[in-house]
Amino acid sequence: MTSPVFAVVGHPNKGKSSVVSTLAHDDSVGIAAQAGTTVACRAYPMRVDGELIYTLMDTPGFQRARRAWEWLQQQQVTAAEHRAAVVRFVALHRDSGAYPDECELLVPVLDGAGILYVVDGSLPYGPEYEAEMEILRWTGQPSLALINCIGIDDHVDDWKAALGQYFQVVRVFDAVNAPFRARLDLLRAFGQLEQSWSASLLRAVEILESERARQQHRAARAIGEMLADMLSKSTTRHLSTGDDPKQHHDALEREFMEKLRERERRGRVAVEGVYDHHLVERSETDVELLDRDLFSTDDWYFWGLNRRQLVTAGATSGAVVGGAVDATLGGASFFLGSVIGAAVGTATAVFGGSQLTQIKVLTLPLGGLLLQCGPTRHENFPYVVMGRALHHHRSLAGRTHADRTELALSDEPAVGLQQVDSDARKSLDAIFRRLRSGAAPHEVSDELTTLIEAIITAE
Amino acid sequence: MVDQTDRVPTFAQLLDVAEQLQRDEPRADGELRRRDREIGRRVEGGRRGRVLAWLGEVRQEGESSATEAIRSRRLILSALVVLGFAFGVAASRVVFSYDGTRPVNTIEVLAVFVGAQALLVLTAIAMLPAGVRQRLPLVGVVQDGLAVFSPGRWQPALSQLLPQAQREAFDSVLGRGRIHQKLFGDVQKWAVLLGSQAFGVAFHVGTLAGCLYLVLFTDLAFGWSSTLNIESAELHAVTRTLSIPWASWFPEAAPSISLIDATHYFRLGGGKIGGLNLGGEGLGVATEAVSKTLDSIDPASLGGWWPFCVAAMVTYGLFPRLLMWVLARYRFAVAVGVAFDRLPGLADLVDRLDTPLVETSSPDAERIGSAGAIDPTLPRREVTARRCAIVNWAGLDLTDDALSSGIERALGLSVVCVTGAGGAHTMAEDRAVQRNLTEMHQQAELAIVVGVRSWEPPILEFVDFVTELRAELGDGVAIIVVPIALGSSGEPGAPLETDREQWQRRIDVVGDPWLSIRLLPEIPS
Repeated sequence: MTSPVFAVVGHPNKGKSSVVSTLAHDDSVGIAAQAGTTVACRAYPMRVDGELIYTLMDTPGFQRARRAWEWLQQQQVTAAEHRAAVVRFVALHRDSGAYPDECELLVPVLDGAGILYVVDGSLPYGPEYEAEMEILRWTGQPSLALINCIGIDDHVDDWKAALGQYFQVVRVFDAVNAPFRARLDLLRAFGQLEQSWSASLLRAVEILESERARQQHRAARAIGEMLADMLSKSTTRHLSTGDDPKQHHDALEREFMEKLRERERRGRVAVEGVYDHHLVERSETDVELLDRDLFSTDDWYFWGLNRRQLVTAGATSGAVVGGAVDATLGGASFFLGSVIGAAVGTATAVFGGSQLTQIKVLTLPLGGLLLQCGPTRHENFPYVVMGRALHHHRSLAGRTHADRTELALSDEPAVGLQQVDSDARKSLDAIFRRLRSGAAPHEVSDELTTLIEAIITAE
Repeated sequence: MVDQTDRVPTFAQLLDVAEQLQRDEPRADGELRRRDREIGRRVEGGRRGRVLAWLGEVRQEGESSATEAIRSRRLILSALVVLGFAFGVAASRVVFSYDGTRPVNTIEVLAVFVGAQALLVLTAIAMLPAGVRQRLPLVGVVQDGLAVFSPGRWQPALSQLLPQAQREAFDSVLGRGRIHQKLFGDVQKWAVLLGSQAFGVAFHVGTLAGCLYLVLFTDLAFGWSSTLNIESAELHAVTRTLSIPWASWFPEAAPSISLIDATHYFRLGGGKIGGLNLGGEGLGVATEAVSKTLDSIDPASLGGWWPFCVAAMVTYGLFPRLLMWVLARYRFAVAVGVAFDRLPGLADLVDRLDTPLVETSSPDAERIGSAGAIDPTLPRREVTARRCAIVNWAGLDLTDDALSSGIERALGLSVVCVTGAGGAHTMAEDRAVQRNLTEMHQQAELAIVVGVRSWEPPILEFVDFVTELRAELGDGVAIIVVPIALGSSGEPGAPLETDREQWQRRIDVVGDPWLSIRLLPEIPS
């Protein structure tokens, strides 16, 4: 059994390509204000692991419908011969150049495609559409009319009255703003046009619902990984002992902020990619920190040691030396040698460690100061970042691929967080505490993904 | 179909997968999904096995830096083994040195090659699970101290001796480890411990080799001596306890009380060796006496300690170290497996392998038509007529009077008549309109004004009408297209700028210098 094909036809500039873009989840479909953008049919097959489920065909708009209709009327055929007349029309004119658009759009219809006739419900109905509708009716193919409201005016009722005389099903469908459920409902309606198509379209709906659930999971993971990364990020700079750390604060803080913003941007792109939005232009204010004190300093020493390790090494070696003395004295020192040795070793490391930083070997210092900016410890920062991410996700998940406006994200991200229940909030608090205590992002990402996914699916 | 079972990945595979995931990062998600799902449908097995099969499919020859890194690591480990062996041999030469004056002190042998090595087993603390380590006091302190002196930490320094390609490969592994420190931290830790244990095993093998060499090829004399006041019976109790593991099947390696008695020697006055009192002159003065005494003792008994020493070194030195090396290898492999499972991007990869690929976009390139361009250089001829006939194209929703008055005000032309074409009119009616307008113009000069719905696109049907009208009228007759928008109350006015441009573009494509666009005034807001 061949899979169903649906040809999206109609007058130019009525949103045919927008309908296709929305149903095919493809933001690369050319949607232009000028008529005549589409000059050739383009197929949008829905496949799952290569198996064809159904195909949408974007077609050029009618350009000479009245003339073509006049030609057909002149054939003086009975109703039973209407389709044959259309077939002859296409065969005769396909290569003549007289009716390039009509021939192009009628070929898939005559090959068995269902008709999806698109009109703009925000513009008044006009008799010039009737020639198109008559031609399509002569093909005898199952047909559905979509009233797509592009502008703000409402002439839907007039359109319904007219279209109902020509098409089996008439639906109102806002191609640019239709929510996900409305798109699935439309696919189910396609399946009602022909009994043999019903199974394929119902399967398509199931597949898209499963895919949506997987997308939500992937988006939650992308957000969780972004959040964990941002809460673990820091920047460091190795300074010489003579440097004043405060002189480096501004530059280091800028570097730290840029790292955070860049990670957030990558997170946004990842979520947009999950929903196949590759061309969206986004405007959003940059994330800001809430901490006042991000800086810390530590000593660094050759061999990659930090201060604690150097002190421990000093104590250990001092104890070993002292222990040797104890052994020499045959235990008479009551292990004071080890104790004193450890103390001397520790003191040497503590006080002498800073001397190490003054020494250079082959122009390389044996130590210095390590200035670190971040990670941010403010308790609310994770919620700020998460709120922004959920706001972006909410705006994006409901966006159709026909919507080419800028994705402007307002500074009101907290709406989604108010719906987080107290148990989830406690779990989030625990995760953020672990991250602040130094847990690695990968240690919490699974848990965080689950919590964020629950928030997303509850919206 | 490739059948792969789940298995523990090797270090090289961990590095290769990490590298490939990083290489895939900038690629488009759709592209990766198609590639990986195709592979995922062909491979079977556990999660890791499928990922490794995926690696085999996507990696090109020569793309792996893991091979060089692994080679570097093996070279470095080999260097540690060689160093360990050398140190072991050197240590055994020192401890087992015998110049014929003073016997080899078995207490010293036990202290250096058994006692001290037993202390180093404290490194086992570092091998304990994190949860256990956290509960033990001072573990962190001990761990830090031992970590500083661990031979495994020599690896980065030793890598500087390698050829450039191998050094860079090793450094890239270290660099990746630093970037994902918390992920690769355990792998690094066990790599360091593995290096340390390899060094330790080699050290013990070296000590044994050195000892056996001296036993085989020199004449060693063994004795025992200690500053502490130890009786032979006490030492016998210690050696008997130490000999438990081998006494039943290798009794020669368990020193008897008579051997212990026979080989006890003292340093200072009041001491004795083999029962001989040295008279208190001290070992240096009594060297001659000691030599004479040694001469009088059965040489076989002086050498009788060596089986015990070797057995003790093997059992309490080499064997624990071997066990720890085996444990370190196992834990290293486990750490590699854990790091593998947590690699950034791996969860996404498994998702791409396992999730059915849903595709809805078009595989074909889009062909976009040109809507033409506004041509400012097109010559525009002046309208000389003072009268016009209006064509209401496609049923513009205005009365003839409203249309006429709007045109008259805007264009300054007096309207002779209003007729309709396009829309619900037939082609025959359009042609009749064209003929009538031509006849009217022939009687008196007229401009033809075509009022159109500005919000509707200018389709070819309209262009055909205008072109055919021009053919009927001939050159020189002004045809003025007026795109009209309707206000909320139905009043006519100027179109939106986008609509005007659209109509202007279409008109310019026709290339008729007597064909122009004019606008009505803006609709008052």
